[in-house]
Formats: sequence, structure tokens, C-alpha cells
Amino acid sequence: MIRLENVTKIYDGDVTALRDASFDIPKGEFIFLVGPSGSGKSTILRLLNRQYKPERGDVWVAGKNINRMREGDVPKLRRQIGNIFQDYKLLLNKTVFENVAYALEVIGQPRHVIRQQVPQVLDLVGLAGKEDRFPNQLSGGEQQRVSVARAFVNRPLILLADEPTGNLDPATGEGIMKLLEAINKTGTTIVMATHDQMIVNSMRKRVVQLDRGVIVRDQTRGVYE
Amino acid sequence: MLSRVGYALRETWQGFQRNWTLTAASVLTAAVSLLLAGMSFFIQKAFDQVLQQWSNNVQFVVFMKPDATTDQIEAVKSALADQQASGVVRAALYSGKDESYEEFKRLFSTNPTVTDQLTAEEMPTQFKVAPASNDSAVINNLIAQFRGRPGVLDVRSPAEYVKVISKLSGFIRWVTTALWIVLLGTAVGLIWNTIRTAMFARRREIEVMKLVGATNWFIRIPFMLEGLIQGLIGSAVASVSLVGLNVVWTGRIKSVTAGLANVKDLALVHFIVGGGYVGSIVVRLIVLGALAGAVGAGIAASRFLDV
Repeated sequence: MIRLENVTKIYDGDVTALRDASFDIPKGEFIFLVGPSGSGKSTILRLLNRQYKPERGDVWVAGKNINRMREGDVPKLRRQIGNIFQDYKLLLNKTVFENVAYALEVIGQPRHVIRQQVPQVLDLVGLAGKEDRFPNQLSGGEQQRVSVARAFVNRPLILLADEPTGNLDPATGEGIMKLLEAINKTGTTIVMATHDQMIVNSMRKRVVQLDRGVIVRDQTRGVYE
Repeated sequence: MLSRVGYALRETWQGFQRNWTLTAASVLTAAVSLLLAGMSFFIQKAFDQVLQQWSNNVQFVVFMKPDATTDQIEAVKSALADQQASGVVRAALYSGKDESYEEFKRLFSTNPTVTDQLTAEEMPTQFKVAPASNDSAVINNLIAQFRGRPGVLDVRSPAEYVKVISKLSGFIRWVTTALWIVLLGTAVGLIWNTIRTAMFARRREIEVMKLVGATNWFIRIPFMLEGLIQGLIGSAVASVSLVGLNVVWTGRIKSVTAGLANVKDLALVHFIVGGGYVGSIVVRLIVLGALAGAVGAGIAASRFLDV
């Protein structure tokens, strides 16, 4: 599903964020990217949704070399990828329903699809009945659930999560992880960057550890350290 | 497809509401610049018509001094008759004090204070001369022959007026054209800034849109439409104002010349620009307004998508 081949990413000509990184992620896997801040976790996520292009090496997603992709095909790639962020990136002037519906609306889905899919996914993330709330009226955990719903509403092949529990207390974070696990069980590949030792240690998934842009460990059923 | 059109229109409308002060500034600047452009086209047309009429009707006037003696007048008359006989002059028409006074009263009929101040005695007599040729060298030569003759006050030819009017119209054309181009440039800049501000205000939405896979055109179109509509509203305001001004202008000229004989020969009426031509100006203004909006918004929308 995802493959990095000797990928190097350099910022501004002299900061090497990722050096000669290679790994393979089969379809349906759940993988943690761990390491301190600035180790290159977020860089990998941004390479995968083509926010960045690497200086060297190839990035393959869903059978396509996305570095060689035409600009016009990038939106198609992104429709197969859901994104979750530490700061949720919700639109504060839109309700819960509208935030999730937005993801379908802007890719041109017709209204009847939106009316059918959005309540379904809000039910899945446990927000049924809160459709008309605004993000500011929700707890952090609930806001993150909205963001998960938005990422998952068009059933992407891949879910990229950048510190999704970073702003949440452990119990709430655990709830989000349960949700991600459930989504993973539907066959969605999940790549999650995190610092959260407790979560990594308790879930026993594959762990890729980074240190200053270099992959120092790639372990199945791994722990944080 | 229908939902996309609906989305674009909804977003465009919201853009107007969100940012109405900047939008109003853009629209007004566009309107003022386009009105100036329209007036510039209008003035050019009016002057062209007047110049056309004058050069089609070349003649010069030999004004005699009010105190010219009968001998002096007769001498000019016979000189003109000689020229007519030799075919240089097609026609020469003498108008004495009374005829001149009649014409003067007719021209200033709306202004009794002027007509009251002059009597027939004070009017210069004049010869209206139509040369056979349109060649300016021939005409200038003829004029030189009569200028300076005893009893002749001056010789005036439309060529001189044409020169003055051409200079004047050239100047006005230059100034108004420069003004409207600069102002239209300002309007493009303001529209650009309005759209850029709108995009900056919505950078979170744009970021989310890009991440969930909206195409660049999908993101751009509402912004470009917003700019285009700003330009179009500007040209609509300018067009309505121009048509209004034309109605007032035409009405004024008609009321001044109403009741006068040989109205068609008066230069003034040739300043009236026909409705058909005003219509063609309106079309130009709409095209210019749409272009200004599309260019300003297009540049903003393609440059500031990476927010």
C-alpha cells in the first residue's frame, strides 16, 4: 500500500529532515512512527499525502509513484487518504455536521450521498445527536472525533494521523485509539506519528523509530523504546 | 454537477457578505475608472463628429471692419468675383450689417443680455467664401490674399478652428485615456487585494479543502467569480451613469438649439452622440470591467492558493 525507497528530504537546501529512509507498509497495517520532535515523523506523513516532494528516492502510495504524479492527479490521491491532526483543524464557523459534510462537498459529492454518509460516520465515532454543535461547544476528545469522522467519511484506503492524542488526556486519547483501531479493522491502513509511550506500548503494533531523520528501528509488535 | 454550481455561487455570495467594505472599494474604483473610460470614448466621438462636419464644409469668412467704406467692401467683392470667375472660389456670399445682426440674434436668442448690448450698426459685415478645392495650400493662399486688404478686419477659416479643436480634443483624449488606464489598473489591484484578503481569511478552509482532495479549480472558481462579479458590477454602475449623462447632455444641447434655423449646420449639435454609439461604449465597458475583475482575481487565486 505504501513504500518508501531510499527517501531523502532536505528543507531549505541544508536541513536534512529524512535521510535514506525505506520501508514497506502492507494494506491494512497499523504502524506507529515514534521519535522525538524534529526526528522526521511529520515529514514522512507529508511525503505520503504529497504536501512535500523528496529530494531523492521514491514514494509509492496505492500502487503509484507519487513523486512522478502530475499536479492534476494529486487531488485524486488525496481522496484516498484521510488526515488527522493534533490540533484537529476543524472549521470553527461550521457545525459538526457541516465540518464532516465539507469533505464530501468539496470533492463534488451530491447532496443525497452527503445526507446518507455523514450521519452514518458521526454515529460510528460516537457523536450522534451532536450534529448541530459548533467545535467550540465540544470537548477536545469530541473535536478529535469530528476530525476522525471527516477523515474517514469517504472511506479512504489510508489514514494519516499526526499526534492525534497529543492534546488529549490519557483516558480521552484511549477512546480515540479505540476508534482508530476499529477503523483499521475495516481494512484501512493507518500510519500514526506519536510521542505517546503508553499508547504505543499498550497496542503492540509495528513501530518505526526515527532519530534525526534516520530510521533506527523497525519492529513488528514493538514498544516505544 | 448542479451541486458544484450551487456551491460556487453560495461561496461567491458569502465572499461578498464577508468582505463588503473591501468589495465596495473595488467596485467603486472599477465604476469610476470605467465611467472615465466611457466618457473618454464619448468625448472622442463627439469631437470626431464636429471635426468631420467642419472639414466637409470648408469655407472661410472674410470679416470687414465695422467702419469699412463702401469702396473697400466693393473692392473685396470684385476680387472674390474674379476668383470665382477663374474657378478658384466656388461661391461667395456677402452678408451685410443687417444679415449679420440677424444671424447674431438667432445664435444668441437664449441670451437676451448679449443681444441687447449690440446694435446692427456695430456688426461687422462679412463674406462667406467656399473655395472650390479642399487643398489646404490653395485655401491658405486664398486667405493670405484677403488678409490685410484695406477694410478687412480678419480672415477666419475653419482650418484654424479645426487645428485648435483637434489640439484640444487630442489633449482631452490623452488626459482621459491616461486617467482611466491608471484608474483601471488601480481597480485591478484593489480586486486582487480583496480576493487575496478573502483567501487569506479562509486559509484554514483552503488547507482542509486541499487535504481532502478538492481540485485547485474547485477552490479557485468562487474567488475568481467574486472578482469577475465585482468588475461587472463596476461596469454596470459606469454604464448606467454614462447613459444618464448622455440623456442630460443631449437634452441640454437640444434645448439650447431648439427653434433655431439651419440647426444642422451648428457645430454644437454635432456634439450629440447617438444612442447606438453609447450602446457600443457600454459593451466595451462591460468587457473591460469583466477583464479587470477576472485578471485581478485570477492572479490572486493562482498565486495565493498555497496558503
